[in-house]
Amino acid sequence: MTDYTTHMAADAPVSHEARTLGATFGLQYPTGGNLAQQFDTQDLSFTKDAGTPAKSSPAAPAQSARPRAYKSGQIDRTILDQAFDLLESLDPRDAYQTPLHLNSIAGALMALWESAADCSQFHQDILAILENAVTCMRADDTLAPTESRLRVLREALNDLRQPQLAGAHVQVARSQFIREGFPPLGFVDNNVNFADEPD
Amino acid sequence: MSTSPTNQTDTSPCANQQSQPPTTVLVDTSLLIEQLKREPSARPVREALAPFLFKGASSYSKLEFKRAWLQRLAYIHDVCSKPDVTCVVDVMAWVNQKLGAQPKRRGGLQTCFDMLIRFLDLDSGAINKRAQLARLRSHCKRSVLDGTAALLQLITAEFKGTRCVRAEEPARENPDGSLNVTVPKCRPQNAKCAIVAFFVSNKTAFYSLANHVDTLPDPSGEMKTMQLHIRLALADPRHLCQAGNCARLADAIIALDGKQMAVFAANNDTEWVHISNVLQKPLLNPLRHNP
Repeated sequence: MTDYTTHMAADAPVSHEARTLGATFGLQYPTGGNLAQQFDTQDLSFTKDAGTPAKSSPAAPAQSARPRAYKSGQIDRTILDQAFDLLESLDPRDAYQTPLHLNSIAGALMALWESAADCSQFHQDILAILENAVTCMRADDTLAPTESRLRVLREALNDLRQPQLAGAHVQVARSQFIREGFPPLGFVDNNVNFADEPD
Repeated sequence: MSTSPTNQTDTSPCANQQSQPPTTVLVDTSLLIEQLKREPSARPVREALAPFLFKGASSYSKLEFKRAWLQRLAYIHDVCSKPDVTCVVDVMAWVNQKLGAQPKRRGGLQTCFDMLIRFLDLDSGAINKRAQLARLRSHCKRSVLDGTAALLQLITAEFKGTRCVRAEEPARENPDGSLNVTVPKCRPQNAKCAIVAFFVSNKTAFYSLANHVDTLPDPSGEMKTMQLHIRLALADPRHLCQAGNCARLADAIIALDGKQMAVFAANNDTEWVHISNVLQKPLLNPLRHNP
């Protein structure tokens, strides 16, 4: 089974590369923090992705890149099955294995984004809900896996198997994960600057 | 106004435990937001507030939350959906281009950049740029739609002294997948809230707060703005019905809305030290040494 653990860095502080990029836009960050590998594989040049109109093409329609509710893409079943197997083998009482399993599940969920980008917005919404929950579980002892939390994770993974989803699936998943105490800002937990003047 | 702010803020609610520990706390927007974050940001706040049996918040905090956080997340979500934006770096460039030149958007720019950088730090670059963009967009959307519901779970009760209709308008998803987090502009002619009545009933406290700013050796810009708008409202309370004017005394409104609470809890000392001083409440800032 693929080990996704190395793909993730749950509590990485602001990386040097990210700071450098922020600095190019005139932003200052406090010193400290380790180095992440974020921009190693990124270049700043424009690449035309499938389904996105080219920047320079005058004939390109000004359509939104917003994901449609119904897209024909299928989520990667192999990775989804691996994530499901990992979840099924997670024993909440095993303090040694649990974080290792969560790391691998988080890696699998991240890998799912490659295929989810071609799926409906509902698939993407549920994947984001799942990923936030797993990220929070990895970082927070008080959100340790329990039977009820594992159940909602399992249900959300099962939803992703469906070729077509509706908004109701997302609503149900959203309310279940909130009820289980997963904080909503797990992925964007920076400090907020209140300084703007109101409109 | 003779009490030193330093003495006042050092008064921990746990300091005079010998008699009767306070059981009620007013939680400001800044600390509500902290609790919605992942560990370790949320832990010190959660632990500091745990001893209080009753945690109150002003409904006005929901408006502040919407303005300071949800609108910025929704902005990133919208940028992610632009046809020309193909990767997260494009999002950063777009945000910088559109907000960088506007001094009044400096706070928004900083928050958006911090947000993007924190997001990128959770990503090792293992997925392609298109997937990364879809991931960012989905997480922004999820945070916006989950945010308000989760915010309300953090408190025991909500004070609705201003009966602010804007605060009650939820963030929602439009049929085309975009997010609606707008705060429509208010006008004195169509005032729908009770801000005037709220101000009049708390006039003495607002007056004291404005006078307190005069005693400060080096008041912050926010305090001076607050003082100015309090004085304008003292001359004519309907001044607060004009779009955005009430937001300039947001912290004072939140504090007075929950003035029956024994302790105030907030992160931004710049304003809350003085507000709690004037209202003679101990201020709890669990993040003071860990900002």
